[in-house]
Amino acid sequence: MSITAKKIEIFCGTGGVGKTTLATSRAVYLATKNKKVLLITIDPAKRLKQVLGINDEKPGQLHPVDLSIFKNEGVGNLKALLMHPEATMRRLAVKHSLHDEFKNPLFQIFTKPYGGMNEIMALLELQYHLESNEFDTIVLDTPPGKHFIDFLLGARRINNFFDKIYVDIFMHLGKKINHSEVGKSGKILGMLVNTGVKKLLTYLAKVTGAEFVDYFVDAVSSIYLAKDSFIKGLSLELELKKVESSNWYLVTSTEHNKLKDAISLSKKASSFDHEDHYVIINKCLAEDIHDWVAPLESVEDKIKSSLIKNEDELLAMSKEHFKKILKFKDILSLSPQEQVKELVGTWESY
Amino acid sequence: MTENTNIERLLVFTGKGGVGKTTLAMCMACYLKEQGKEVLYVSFEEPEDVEIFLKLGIKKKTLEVAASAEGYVGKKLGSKTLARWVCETKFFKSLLNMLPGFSYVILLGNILELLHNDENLHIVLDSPSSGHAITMFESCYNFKEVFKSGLIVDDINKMLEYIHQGSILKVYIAALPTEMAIQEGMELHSSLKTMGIENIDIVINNSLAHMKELEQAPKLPMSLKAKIELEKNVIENSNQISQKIIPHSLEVNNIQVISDLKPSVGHCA
Repeated sequence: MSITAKKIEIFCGTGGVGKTTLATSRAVYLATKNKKVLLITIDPAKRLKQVLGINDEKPGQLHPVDLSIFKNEGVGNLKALLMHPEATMRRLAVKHSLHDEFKNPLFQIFTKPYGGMNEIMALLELQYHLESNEFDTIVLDTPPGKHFIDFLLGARRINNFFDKIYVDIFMHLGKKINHSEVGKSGKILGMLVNTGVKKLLTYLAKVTGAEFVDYFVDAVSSIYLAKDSFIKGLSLELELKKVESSNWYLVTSTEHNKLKDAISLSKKASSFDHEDHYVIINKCLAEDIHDWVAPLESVEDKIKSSLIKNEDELLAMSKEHFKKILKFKDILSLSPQEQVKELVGTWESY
Repeated sequence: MTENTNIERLLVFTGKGGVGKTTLAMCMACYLKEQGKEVLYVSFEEPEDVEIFLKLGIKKKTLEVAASAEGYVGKKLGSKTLARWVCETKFFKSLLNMLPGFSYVILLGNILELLHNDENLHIVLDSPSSGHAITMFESCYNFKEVFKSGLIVDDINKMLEYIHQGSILKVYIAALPTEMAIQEGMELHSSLKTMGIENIDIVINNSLAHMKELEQAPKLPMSLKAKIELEKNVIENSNQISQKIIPHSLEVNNIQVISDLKPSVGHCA
């Protein structure tokens, strides 16, 4: 099986399966193959920032990565970016001249990790760098959703948002809101003189306080003013589904009890059919201990079969639902650079 | 609120996806029940395997955001009909969607109410994975600022007071014995600490190095020996914070795994 490098390569999976390390190894591998590569990663453990030689002083900026730290002989062009939803949001604010609007304290909450806008922010960030045309390949280490379907569905949430919420509020106004009106009034709550919406907001204000309702309605209208960017972000979703522009890697690990994830995934995956969806089974051990001769019924035998069983089940389940399975060995090294280097070697063999 | 505040009655299991939170939480619930405690296992998602709770005789409750929110709004507005109307609007649904923290405040409030209403009750919370757990606790502080007025602020204040009194809350951060995982566990540990949550253990799950079977000195292949050595190193390097270690279980089915691990998990209580 040979894996063609695509414009976009996306790594998905739950946290802790080695997603970031694998994404890094893929990026390093492609960079040494003379590709210009950008690695976008969600905020990983401090340790990984050290590995990449990145500090947090300039969140949201591109950092060149020195490939020699992976003891790799090849030279290449790799840049890394730690996802910083707030920086993505700030860029939007500048683009749409929404400086004051984005001071709304709710935006800080929206753009926190797990804040509810993470997936769409990741998509917008990805799109921004795609449009810059600076890179041959962008490797995206996604926020820790359950899998790629969660990621795509999460992004779609914003679509619902425009479909539903805004219509709800502004249809009642009976007129279109434009930038200057919202900008001028700041609080559009006062404009909501009509029927149900006003009642709804009054009830809500009783529970949450009027300030909160103000903030929320303002936040909604600010997002609406930047809607062109958000909606453009959604068009990227189509691009992501095209086999010629993307590779998807669903990462699981033998250490994790991920069987039920594989099942739930297979149920949903059909609507996202695309040739180049790979399942990566990380931290494989079985191959190394298969030849270990353990006397029947012995402690050794119990240990051996317990370790192999998980891996076999995971493999069987994956084979049932996915055509392309990549196995990566458990790398027994404390040094993350060492780990990345070893994994780069495995990409070489695929 | 003057009730049993020196007893750990809200035991929260968190950690990354797939590290065995659910199994550990179930072991803890079984252990407490055997100690004669009144135990309720709470999660925010319906567990995959419902039957196992019946088999183990553990009472479980699944708290859902929509229902909890409706209940809460209903209480505050003094009308169930109004609450249903408010909560069914797209506007309100989107609000919950955009601000997961808001949902967590309501869910946490629901849990504390259960504890408050029955002072003998122990709740084992199989909480959503790490980041979400931070959101859950952090939201109380964030929203306190944003809400300013409104009935919810009083409730948030009461919740914070309740959490911080005595030692009612205990958080277990589950992690696997790898360096990255334990590091992240420690980062979560310090984030929770900055929120004034002190009573925290890191639970290192699935440790090959701590299998009791190893005491029989089996002959292991090189790769396993190396893996075990690596684990020992990693665990030792992080022993500056309170950690508990749960061995890898060689058992096959869930019920057996739970009874196998129960003593080690009970040791964490």
